[in-house]
Amino acid sequence: MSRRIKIQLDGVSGSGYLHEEAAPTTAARFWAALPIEGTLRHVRWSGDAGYILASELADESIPIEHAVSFYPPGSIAFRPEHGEIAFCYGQAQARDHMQPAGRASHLATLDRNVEALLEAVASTRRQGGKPIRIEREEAK
Amino acid sequence: MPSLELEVDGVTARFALRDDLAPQTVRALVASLPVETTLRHCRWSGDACFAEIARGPILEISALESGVTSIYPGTLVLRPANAIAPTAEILIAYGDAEYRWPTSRMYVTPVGEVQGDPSALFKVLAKTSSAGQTTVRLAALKEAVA
Repeated sequence: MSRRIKIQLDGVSGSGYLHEEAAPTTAARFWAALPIEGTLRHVRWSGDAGYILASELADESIPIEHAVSFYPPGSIAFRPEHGEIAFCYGQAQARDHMQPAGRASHLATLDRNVEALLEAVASTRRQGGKPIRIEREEAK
Repeated sequence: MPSLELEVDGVTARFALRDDLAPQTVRALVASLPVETTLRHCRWSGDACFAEIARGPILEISALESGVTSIYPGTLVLRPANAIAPTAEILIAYGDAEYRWPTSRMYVTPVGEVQGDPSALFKVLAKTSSAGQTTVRLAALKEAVA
């Protein structure tokens, strides 16, 4: 059974599962770093997504795993060079000022209370940054 | 050279309008002012904010003039109304910016350049990334109307 994570964003909770088989190194480092807290902001280059920077996870030597360029809605993507964790709610792609089409690791997928959580992510575009906490969802 | 005044969150900036580069667009933009509308941070184009203009002669402009994709800090550009997006869109860059849509880079018309020290303007533009959308007011200055 895949390890699960819980996300709390500005009073909205949801959860998802890590892609441990497809992204073993990325998932293991991410799991070890939990809980992660910060402010989720809307991306400036990548489209319909919010992001936080986890500086403790930034490492350019970490390979891209479960590679994705266009993020599927409900996916959580990780860019090792930035330590960026992106939550996609619509059309989005791994981009920045240098790369109009980069790649990221598809780290996790949301599967519980997805719609409400993604609405909260989308609202950062109008309302600005919101507090987020990502933690382990331990098996009961 | 015509000019306009832009006000965001109590910060006012003056832009010289480039009627040498974009005569038809600048004329239509000035004729469409004043405008008060929502200013949002870009989600595809980098360190820039955008606002839609939904009425006025600017909606009759469909062609680009002196098209560019890179948007230098302090530059005001305009994306004409089109079949997909029926409103005109202005963008103001405060850092690294390039006009992009979900599928590709796009061309826009350069229409203005900020005059004087832009640091206060850049600060309020950048703030929309963390604090969310705000309101922008655009008005033609008198010499632009004459």
